[in-house]
Amino acid sequence: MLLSRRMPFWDIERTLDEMSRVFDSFGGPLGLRSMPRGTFPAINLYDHENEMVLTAEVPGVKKEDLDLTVVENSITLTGKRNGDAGEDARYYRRERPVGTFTRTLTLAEKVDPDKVSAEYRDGVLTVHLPKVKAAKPKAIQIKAS
Amino acid sequence: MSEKELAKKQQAEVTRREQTEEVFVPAADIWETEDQIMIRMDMPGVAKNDTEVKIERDTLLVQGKVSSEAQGNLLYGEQRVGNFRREFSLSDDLDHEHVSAQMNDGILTITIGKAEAVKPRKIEILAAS
Repeated sequence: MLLSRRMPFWDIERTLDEMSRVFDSFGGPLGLRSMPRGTFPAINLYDHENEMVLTAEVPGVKKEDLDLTVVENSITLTGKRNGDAGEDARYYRRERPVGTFTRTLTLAEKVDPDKVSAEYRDGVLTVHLPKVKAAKPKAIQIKAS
Repeated sequence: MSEKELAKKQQAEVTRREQTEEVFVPAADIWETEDQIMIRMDMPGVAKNDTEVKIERDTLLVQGKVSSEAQGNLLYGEQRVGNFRREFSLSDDLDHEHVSAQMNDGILTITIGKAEAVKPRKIEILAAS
């Protein structure tokens, strides 16, 4: 099932959401219900024959506040997200994480740091990580003696 | 209820749960300024056209879909895909006619005006002549 492979803990998360719905439903001037939780930013990693693709959800983070480092097979994303309401704002709810963040992922295969490219669109950072040649599958010819 | 019946009922519930599509709740900040209420929601990768914001009576509804593009073989996944939905109930202190929404860099910002009656008013002090 595609859903459970993507979110192995979706059922737990759902229960947590359900719990916070029960406990939160009394508070708040706007009558809000549940609240999501998790690590920031959420990351997906895809595998292709020649490259790996990493996507990170960084809504509201400016391009210049993002920093990406690749060393061999380790990739680190650091950045900063500003809380952007003015000083006179009176908060009712703050669920969106703000401040600095760092996430490091170790990839199963080596990538070429010089060929890594990244683009930012609609709050999603997409990083293309080309694999080093040696890691690509290579067919070996078996010679007859 | 006998144990057998109970087990049967639980089984039915489990089956039903798997059939219903997962709907997730996007994170939101809500704050108040002098003359309006702001709601800001994280919606990375959501297209403007895939999002619907509507007001029905005293409920503000935000719903839509995160389309999962086929980006290759998924090795590791944390991002949520599928339908999202979140409801806010609006009090009478808000001006239901003055609501605007804007999508920028994966963030949806909804601005709701306050009703004239609840906006802070400055009272001028008159000098007795």
